[in-house]
Amino acid sequence: LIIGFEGGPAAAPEQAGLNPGSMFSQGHHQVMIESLYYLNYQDGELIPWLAAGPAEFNEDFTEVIITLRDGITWSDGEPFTAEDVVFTIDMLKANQTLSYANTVVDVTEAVAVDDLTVQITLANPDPRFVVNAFGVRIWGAVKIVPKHIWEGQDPNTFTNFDLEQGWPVWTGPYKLVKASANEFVFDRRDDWWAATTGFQELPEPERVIFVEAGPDERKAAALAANEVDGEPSLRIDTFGDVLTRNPNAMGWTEDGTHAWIDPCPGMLGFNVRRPPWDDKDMRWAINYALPKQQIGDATTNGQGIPSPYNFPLYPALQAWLTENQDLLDQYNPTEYNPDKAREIFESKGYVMGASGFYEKDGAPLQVDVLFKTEEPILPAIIIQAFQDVGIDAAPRALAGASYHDARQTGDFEIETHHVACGSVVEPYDELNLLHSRWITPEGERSSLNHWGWSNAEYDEIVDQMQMLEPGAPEQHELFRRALEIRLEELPIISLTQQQRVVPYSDLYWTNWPTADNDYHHPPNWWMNFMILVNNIEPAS
Amino acid sequence: MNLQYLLRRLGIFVLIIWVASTLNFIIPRLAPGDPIGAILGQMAVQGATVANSAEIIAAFRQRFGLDDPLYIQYFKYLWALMRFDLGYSIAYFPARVTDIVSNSLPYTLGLLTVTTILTFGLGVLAGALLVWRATPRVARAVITFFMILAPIPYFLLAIILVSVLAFSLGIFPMSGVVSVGRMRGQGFDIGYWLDVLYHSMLPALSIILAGVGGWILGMRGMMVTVLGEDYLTLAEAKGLRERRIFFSYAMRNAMLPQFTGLAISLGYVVSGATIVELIFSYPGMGYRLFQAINTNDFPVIQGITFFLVVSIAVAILVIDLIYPLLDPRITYERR
Repeated sequence: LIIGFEGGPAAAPEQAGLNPGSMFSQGHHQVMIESLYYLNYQDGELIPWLAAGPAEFNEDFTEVIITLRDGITWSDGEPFTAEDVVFTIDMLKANQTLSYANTVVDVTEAVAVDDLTVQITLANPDPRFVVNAFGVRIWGAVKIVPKHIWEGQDPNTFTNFDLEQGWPVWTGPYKLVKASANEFVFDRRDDWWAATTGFQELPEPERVIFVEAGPDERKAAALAANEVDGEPSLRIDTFGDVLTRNPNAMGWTEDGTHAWIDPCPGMLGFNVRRPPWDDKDMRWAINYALPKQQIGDATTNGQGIPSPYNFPLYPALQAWLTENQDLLDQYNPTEYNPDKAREIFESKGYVMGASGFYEKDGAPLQVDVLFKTEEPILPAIIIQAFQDVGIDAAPRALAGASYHDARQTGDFEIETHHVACGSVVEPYDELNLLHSRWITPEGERSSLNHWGWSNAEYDEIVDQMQMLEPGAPEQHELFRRALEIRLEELPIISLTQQQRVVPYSDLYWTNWPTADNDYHHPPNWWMNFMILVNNIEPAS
Repeated sequence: MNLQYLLRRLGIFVLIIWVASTLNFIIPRLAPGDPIGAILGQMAVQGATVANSAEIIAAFRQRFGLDDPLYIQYFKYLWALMRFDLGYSIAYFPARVTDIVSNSLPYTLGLLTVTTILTFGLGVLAGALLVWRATPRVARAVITFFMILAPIPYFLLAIILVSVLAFSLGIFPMSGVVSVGRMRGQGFDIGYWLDVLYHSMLPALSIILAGVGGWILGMRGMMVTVLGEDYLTLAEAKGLRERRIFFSYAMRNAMLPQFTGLAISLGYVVSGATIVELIFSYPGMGYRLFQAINTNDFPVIQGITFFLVVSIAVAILVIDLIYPLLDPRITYERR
């Protein structure tokens, strides 16, 4: 089984520890590391994996008990126990720069009640603790490490790499046998605990190779020639070309764009600390000025999906919007209406100047729009749309670190982000992006709510939702109120769904997940790929 | 060679490295963007809600000494450089910059040293032949064809080569260093190294084809001026053989400036061929530099440019020292 990985040849292939720059998506967390739970986007279910069943919370969500499966062993034969889980949580709490350490900061105490039972106490009620920390909500999760190996090591500098010695030691069905810049090779371990205990059968592929995928053209060529069985992504038009050469290539849907919907929709946000973007009418004017259909079409061969609200198009999550369709109809955030935009500007005292742009008190209506340099088409469309309604707009494209810096420190007037990751199965996480507790003064770094928008009533609703179980009936009324505030105020504008082809080839391996066979979501650079590896079958 | 000349050259060598290292320290810090921001951005893209970013940033800044005053950072940097301690990569912590460089350097050196010398050899010979009256017509036509390739950027050539030779004809692999899943055997595995060579053919070809034209042009220009010299007429009058006149009289004199060019090109080798490496996913220095700039990974940028500076300075030093051997008109004596 050969799968591509993105991000270029690995700079440090022998870093298999828990630092943010360590190797994870190069196969490590897909086939070698297992999670306690895996969240399934298709039905919203949290699949217990290393855990034996659903976690049990106390009444006010400050204490949770996780029971582990019996018979789990590490790849070196040592038993996997509650002690390992406790050790991992303590280690992450003491070393906040480690991957996913931020998800356990609220843990006040973790105790191994017995070999298979972990009791975790939280400083604040958090009904989402398990899914956020251990559930692979998006991309990854806390990775439980073997205490007998990590104890006594400095986790910040521990590389966890020594193939001769059998390191890295994890619980998964594959072990790492080669790590180089361009490829990582994993061989099946026939003594995998899940097979010996009967929880799962051994996965079919005897060897899984993750190879450096390269730019889109190279991914397409490799897929067309069946040199790989899957790639992390491909542009929609490129995938169309691949299909004409390789009938075995397949995407999530059988027709249309073949794309899967990425959990992070595209959006545009205002720095509401800076006038005139502190005025919600001005924000709505921008919304009317944006041709969302065209923005979506530009990268999808004319099959864009304008998005009324910043939720990805997943069944469980969309249900929350559907039940509030009357609000969406009333506010109609996908309406493209440049005339309305101009009307709003004029009602605010702007007059059309000689240069073709609106002016007020001699000052033109000017704006810089922050983009990522790698964004290919979006800037041209958005800047044109702004200019069409009389805004003197200019793109400000920044690369990599500079872009994140500008965004996080509020150094922008209007910004676009192609990934505004929030909710996937229930609305809380997206709403939390705009809670005022995240706001920092301009110039200081913020982790969420870079836009500086605050609303006391909204905060209160989000606080209440945070304390409630995701499935609680009261959530629906609260969400409706929050949604109405968001639509009224429009601090960020949702643009389009991000359609992303996650291509596979069924020449050698079949039963890849698709919209018709949606046993799981399809990303192969996420930790969830474990589920896929355990479900695919040889073609002949 | 006298001692004074040697000392003066060595002094200039040290000065070059110090000035370049200082610039190397300043320039990345002038760029907007905080390297820690890149890490947080990366964490956010990976889906983690980075709620406690303030503490994370503080921990990272402290680890990399980014909170020290600039002059302290500068002296720490110089002191570390003197001991060839390039520190830790920020983006790939706890990987050391020297590890990252030593992982990439062999690929780059292997690919670019060979291609640079080959390109030089082919280009100089072809350039000389182009204006030599005894050169057959066919040879001239072939050489002229290569000159046409000169203005085509090597990365464009690379894409064309991939498309034709790798994708359509399937003669060469599209990318990578070895075949997928190929493990290195025990001891000296000749098959493995042949596979490495095979994978380097396309990137090498693109660099040679694109580079050779420049050498041809340069050499041709020099040859034209040499051809009118009296010593060639004298050599002919003496009845020397054509081949001897071509190599020892014409080429040897025309080649002198080319050698300086070669030395500088060889110095640049360690910087890699960024775009070719990108196209072929060749994990060399160019690719690393590109990644490091993208993530504002100061230590890695500084490490790679430091290697570059040292190698160019060494190349210039070496050419300064051997030039008098190549050209007797240049002496070590101060006039």
